[in-house]
Amino acid sequence: MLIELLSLLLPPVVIALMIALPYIAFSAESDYGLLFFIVASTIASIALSLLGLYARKNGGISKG
Amino acid sequence: MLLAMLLLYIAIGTAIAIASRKAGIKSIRDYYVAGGRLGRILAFGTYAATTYSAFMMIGLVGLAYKTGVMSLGFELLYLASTIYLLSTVGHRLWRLSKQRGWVSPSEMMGDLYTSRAIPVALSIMYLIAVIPYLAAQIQGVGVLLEKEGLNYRAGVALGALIILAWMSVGGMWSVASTDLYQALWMLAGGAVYVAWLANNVDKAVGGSLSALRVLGESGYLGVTGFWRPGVFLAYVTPWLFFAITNPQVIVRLFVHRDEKSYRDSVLYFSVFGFLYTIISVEIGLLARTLTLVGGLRELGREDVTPHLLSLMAPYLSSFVSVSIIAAAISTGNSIALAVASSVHRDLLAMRAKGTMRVEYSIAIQALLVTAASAIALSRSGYILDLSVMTSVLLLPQAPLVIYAVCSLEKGWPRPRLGALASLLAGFATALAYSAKLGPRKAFLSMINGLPLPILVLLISTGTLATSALLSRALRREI
Repeated sequence: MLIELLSLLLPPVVIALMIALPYIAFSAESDYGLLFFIVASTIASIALSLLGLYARKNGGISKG
Repeated sequence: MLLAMLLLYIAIGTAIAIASRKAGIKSIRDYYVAGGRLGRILAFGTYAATTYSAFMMIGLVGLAYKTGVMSLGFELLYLASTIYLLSTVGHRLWRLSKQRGWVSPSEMMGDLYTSRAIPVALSIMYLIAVIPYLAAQIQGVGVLLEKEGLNYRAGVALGALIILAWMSVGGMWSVASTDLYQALWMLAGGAVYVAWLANNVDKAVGGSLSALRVLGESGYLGVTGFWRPGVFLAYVTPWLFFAITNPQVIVRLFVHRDEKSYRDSVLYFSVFGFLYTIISVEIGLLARTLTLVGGLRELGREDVTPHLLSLMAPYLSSFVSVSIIAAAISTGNSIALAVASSVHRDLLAMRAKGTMRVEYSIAIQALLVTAASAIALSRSGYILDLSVMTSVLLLPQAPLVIYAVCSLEKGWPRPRLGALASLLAGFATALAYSAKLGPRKAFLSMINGLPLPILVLLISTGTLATSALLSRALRREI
């Protein structure tokens, strides 16, 4: 249940950070930070989404 | 050399398409969505090859070359969002498709809102929005073959013929089978391309860490001037919702055999998408490194891959060129089959009984591909511009899909008129600005301080939310 909830709520947060953070934290040039941030946050978001998909037992985000 | 490679590609693909008929097509649902019987490997392959078009190896490579690492952020945001949507909304829609037996994406929307008008409106929207995208794929094949010395018209005709042949012979079965084959060719072509370039960069600057240093010192690993926040949002917004707005990928939510097939295909697609994106952006960044150290002249955005191909040994460039053609063909026939399913079911068969048969589908496919080829033959730059707008024009579907799935659990009202109004309002806004400013300019325009895709999304979401609230209030009164 907790995994399902986290997998539903966290990826949108990570995606929002991927849009906003480059303009807040990484506007400086000559830095590898942005590259690593983009790759790491993508992997985190995908892993969380997949965790939710595999953890779901009733086969949907709702009972329908 | 290219001709030999092309013949090999066509021969193997045709053999696969014909062999796929062994699956047995007994109904129109079998033809359009493989009867919901695809296993994980085919389901993954067809999703990957459909989603990733020739844009990756030409457009994205050029974008990374010109604008740096933020292009990786743009493309990986698409992937992260798609996996999230496939894991939530998409999964729910797949289960519903099993119960309801959907064959077209417009039928799905009509069923979710119990509306006859929505499928009709959507079929027309698909024709307007997606045909330029199909034409752009066929045009891409023509341009690539022309650069290798073939006649442009012959290239367009060949592209159209392959699209039509591999699609019509077995519907989704032949498309999915050839898509898997093409996905493998695409990934292998990308790997060869990046390895060849990395080897050249290695000789010029001495290793990938040195290349990163060169790029970093020139600002290509930061937020370059191109990626102003409004521009980034304009690029990202339509792609965030691509999985639930473009008919060729929506229809791929109906194809899986069972739960395991669905889950595993999403997992495999996430790995493929990640690798293919990294490869495409790395090619652009490596090419930029070569330009920065004087090993390559400054190139235009669309010229990077064609120029690099001309520098490769013929056997390598042929292999990579065919992998790009495969990306265009696999996206092209998936688009045509999905639009044909909507036009067939929701424009033709609803009006003429007895027409829900494969022969009618093949006739519609032929008409669609012929129309797109005619547009491609005009060779207008406007086609490419218009294809950029495809995802913006289809964006109004996103709130409708998400709201419908949420409302199933919560018991919220699904107002059919409000949904139709939301769809039309968003689509009309995108179309009006395209006509007024030109598609490419409209795409990046700020309207009242907002990028057009955000404005379209706000208008369609606002219209739907207002009508849903009104329906709820009326229901209480009654």
